[in-house]
Amino acid sequence: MRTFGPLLAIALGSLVIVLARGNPIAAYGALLQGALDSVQGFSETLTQTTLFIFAGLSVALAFRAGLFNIGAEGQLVVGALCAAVVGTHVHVAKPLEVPICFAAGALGGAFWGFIAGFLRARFGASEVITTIMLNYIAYLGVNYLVAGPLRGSPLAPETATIDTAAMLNPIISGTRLTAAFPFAVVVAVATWWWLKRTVSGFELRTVGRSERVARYAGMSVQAVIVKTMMLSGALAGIGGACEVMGLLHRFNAQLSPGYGFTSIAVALLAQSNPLGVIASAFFFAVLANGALSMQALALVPKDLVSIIEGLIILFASANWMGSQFALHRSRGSEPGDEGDEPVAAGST
Amino acid sequence: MGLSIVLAVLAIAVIKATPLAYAALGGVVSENAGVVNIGLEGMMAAGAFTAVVASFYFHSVVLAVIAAALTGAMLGLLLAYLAVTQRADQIIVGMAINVLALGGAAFMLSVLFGQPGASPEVTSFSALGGATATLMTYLQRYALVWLAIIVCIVVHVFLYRTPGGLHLRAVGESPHAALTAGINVAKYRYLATIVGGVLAALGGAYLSIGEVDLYSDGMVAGRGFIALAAVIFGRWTPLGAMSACLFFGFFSSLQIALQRANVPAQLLEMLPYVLTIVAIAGFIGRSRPPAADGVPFTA
Amino acid sequence: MSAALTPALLRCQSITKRFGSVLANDRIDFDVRAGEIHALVGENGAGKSTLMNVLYGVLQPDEGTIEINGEQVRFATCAQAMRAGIGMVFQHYLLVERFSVGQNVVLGREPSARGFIDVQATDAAVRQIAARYRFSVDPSATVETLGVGARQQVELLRVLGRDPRIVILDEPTAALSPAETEGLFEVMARLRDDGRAVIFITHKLKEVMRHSDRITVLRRGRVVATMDRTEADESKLASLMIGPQTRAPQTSAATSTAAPVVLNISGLRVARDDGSIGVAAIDLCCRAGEIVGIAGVEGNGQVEFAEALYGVRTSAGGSVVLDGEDVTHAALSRRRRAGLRYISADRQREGLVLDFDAVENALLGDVRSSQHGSIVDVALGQQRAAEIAERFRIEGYRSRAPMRSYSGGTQQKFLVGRETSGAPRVVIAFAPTRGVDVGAASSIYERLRQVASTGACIILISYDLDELRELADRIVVFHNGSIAGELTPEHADDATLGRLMGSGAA
Repeated sequence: MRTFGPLLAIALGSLVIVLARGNPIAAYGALLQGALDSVQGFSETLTQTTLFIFAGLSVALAFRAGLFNIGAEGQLVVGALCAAVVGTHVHVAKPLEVPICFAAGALGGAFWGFIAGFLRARFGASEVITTIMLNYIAYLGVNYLVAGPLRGSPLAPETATIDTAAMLNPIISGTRLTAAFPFAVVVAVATWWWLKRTVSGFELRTVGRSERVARYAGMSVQAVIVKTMMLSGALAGIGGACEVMGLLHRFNAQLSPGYGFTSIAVALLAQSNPLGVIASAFFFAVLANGALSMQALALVPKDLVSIIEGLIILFASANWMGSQFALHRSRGSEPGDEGDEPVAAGST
Repeated sequence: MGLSIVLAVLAIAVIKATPLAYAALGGVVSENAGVVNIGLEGMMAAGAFTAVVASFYFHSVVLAVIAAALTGAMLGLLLAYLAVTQRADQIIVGMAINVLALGGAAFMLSVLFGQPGASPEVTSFSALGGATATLMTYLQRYALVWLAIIVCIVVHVFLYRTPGGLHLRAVGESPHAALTAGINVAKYRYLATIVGGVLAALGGAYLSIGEVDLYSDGMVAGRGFIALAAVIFGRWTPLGAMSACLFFGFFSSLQIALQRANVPAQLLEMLPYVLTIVAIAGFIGRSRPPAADGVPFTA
Repeated sequence: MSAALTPALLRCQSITKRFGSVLANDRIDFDVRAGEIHALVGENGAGKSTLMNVLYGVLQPDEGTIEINGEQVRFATCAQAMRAGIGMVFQHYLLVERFSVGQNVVLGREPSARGFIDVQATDAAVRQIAARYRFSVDPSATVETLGVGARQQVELLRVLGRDPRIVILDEPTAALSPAETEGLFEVMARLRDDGRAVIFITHKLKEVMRHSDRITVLRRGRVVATMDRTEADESKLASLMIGPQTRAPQTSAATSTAAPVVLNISGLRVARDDGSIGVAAIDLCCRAGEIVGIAGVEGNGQVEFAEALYGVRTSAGGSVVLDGEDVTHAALSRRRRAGLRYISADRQREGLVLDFDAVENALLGDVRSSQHGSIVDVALGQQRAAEIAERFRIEGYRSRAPMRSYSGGTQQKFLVGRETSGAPRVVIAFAPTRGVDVGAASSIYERLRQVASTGACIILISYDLDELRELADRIVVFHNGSIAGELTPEHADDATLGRLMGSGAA
């Protein structure tokens, strides 16, 4: 299904184009041209890839633990705001500015992810619902903050511009591509390594395969759930920080990129493998970036890309049989429930 | 003066609650049969868009509503097929429906009407009735609102008073018990999911041709998810979900009224989402869904 | 009318049912007459439930025919079986917890007036059937508030309300108190006197001898005997159920009673998921080098005992002391660190992650005690996995291949190998050779003996009596959550064990 899904989606996409009286070859050609065929275009695609890598990693990591993190967008936004606040108000030695802004982004996102993780671990509240709700709360909350208490500019609801030292500069002049892209690739590789080689990563993967086996092996399933949601949130938060530091240089209401669903598609296509996320993110970045060219040159509406995305998610659903992500699960107040731990003797 | 403001707020609350109510009732029906529908948002968008398209070509709100209902039925059928027969992950299917419907509507918007972002204005419920405000006018203009109330009552009676409703709830609570009582589990799940789709689409139709008279990108604005919240809040009962929708509608209305009072709109808008989290964490009593909700059935 | 002259109401011929490579029912001939209580006995896995599921339309037989009153029938669904007059009371009651008693009883055939459920007619109908069998139920009570005995009554009413000619009861007395059990048999007698055919599945031989008219014994999917009750006795039935002895009982080396106590279990009480008593009050003392066998028919508390001992389930009382340390309330990981290990009977759901490779599975359970801090000790895992592969002579071992690619028997060997590595102190071995061929079984036995000889103790819970006799120094028999008796292997012949297991009394 790995290649079959997207191929079928693209094929069906051509059918849609034909039904809309367009030319699929011209359309896809324009899309690829726009996304890849110029320095401007290609660098923009890579910039887009950066964000999709972080958001995709966030969702993929949660998937590996058997959790459905739909909240990458909210975590990203919270992380972005934290990075902006630190970037404007905290002044330290020049070489430290960038790392602490990233750290702020990670912590902000981690906090936002923690809320959902805690609710799931402690109360059995489905993270599907809580993360969706938290997305809206985050969006509304930061909008309120930048229009009010954190407002830094009299002209628009946004923070002040961050310190120059906190900014990421383009690595190819004339483009928006910053060091955030290679950083994203490094983070993806690091995530892959962490999952494979560390004890925590091992526990995460075990819980994702079978909570029961994990319990019998002495792991604290609840601790793993909370940790996973925090890490997941942190990854999204760093992505948000990249947006602030590399592209906007401030936080404003325009930041919310609306890529919540795309991050899920990225993770599903990559089959939740962090290395696969790099390629998958690139694929969707090509789609997203090329869509504008496709609309301008071949006159096919850019929303075709959303249709392809939806089809990919649809075909991916068949891979995940059964109740992979239980929507409603009671906490362990039902006797013999999976969530039971004998005594709260703490995790190992 | 005070009374008229209160009445206005309440009236707007009902209007705001109506699209939510349709979607929430759709969610209640399908979840009581054991199928989780995360795709309510997409189904609402599909219904909203289809209603506008049909109204554009046929200039009839009745046909528009029927068109929306059919679209909802088709999406419900898709969910049912994948969830019940293929036993695919219901949440991922729901997400796919959201992306497909929202993207599809935006796409078709450009293709059919040549302008991205919004459709042209079409015949809508607000055009019904005469210019004078008679009772008939109100009945016609707000037909979908009255219909929502009727649907709520019908769903309630069906679920709790009829054999069919008992069977449907049994299928969602304990499909094995239903099976060994001779009930066709798959049939009930299919029907419930299709009905859920129809209702969600009707909610969308209200948004586009009931409240206003066009379709614009992003007009559903997360209502499908608030409807999901209302289902949980209302403990998977039609009356409960309806009350939750009225409650959320009230806050929506209040937010409009308080805009002039310098109360930050966003904080009020947040309330439904915060309350939902509180509800599913179990702070408002134990909320228990149908026991087999979301779990594919293997005999 | 003499029983032998009554024609069969229901007859199965050559019923065969396979699940993959497992032959659950092997050319079974079975019949039951009107006005008869026919007991179907056999150990777990003998094929009783499969046969009943075939009769009730839940499963379709691969071969064979079913006749009712001489007419051949075919049931594709439960609804069809019900229409043909078969009613089945399942062992795990199929009730909708949130519905009322009345709703559960009439589900699928609700009395209705003008499209609405007639609640009064429902209540009346329920009371009427209840009165016939002298049950006292409240039609409006919600099932989830009821205890086990009451639930069974509701389940019975559900079935009897359809006026079945043939009533099947699957292990009906498993969770009932003695008083409730007597009540149930009164009901069954009434059903028989009404002219219905009653089939009841059980492993409790005392009940069979008191209440049945005819008995059929299944073993390993086949009918080994059908007889009138007058021709049977408990010993005979026990032997038929268990089968001829395949090996002479071995005497293992006597353990000196001066060996230090490794594990001391005192007064352990454990509740089941539904709240009923799983383990009543067990005292067990295991010394270094000892292999303590636990025999018993499935469902007599072994699972709850093992789970509570390992730490997966909270105990309701009593204490567990390991090497002098009180671990009664310790978390599972603490117990593992103290040297407790668990060879699960359900390797796929509790022991191994089939998608992980051998190395990672070898580390499950010990990954936090790695020398390397937070990095997974891959070297240790590889070493351990290789050791296991060698010790058990696993052919075609590839450390990178997922566990799923090995056969069930190999997976089991692997699980045993893992849980016996790292110098354990107490190993709970639950059906350790289930699904494993003879050669692999003997290497597992060898390993368990090895571990015991290092001064650890093994608690061997098994349904295979030969295995218990071969390995255990002493055999303890569980019955209804208590220890019914203790035997040395020489004295643990099938008949004696069968009696202790089946009725709790020698």
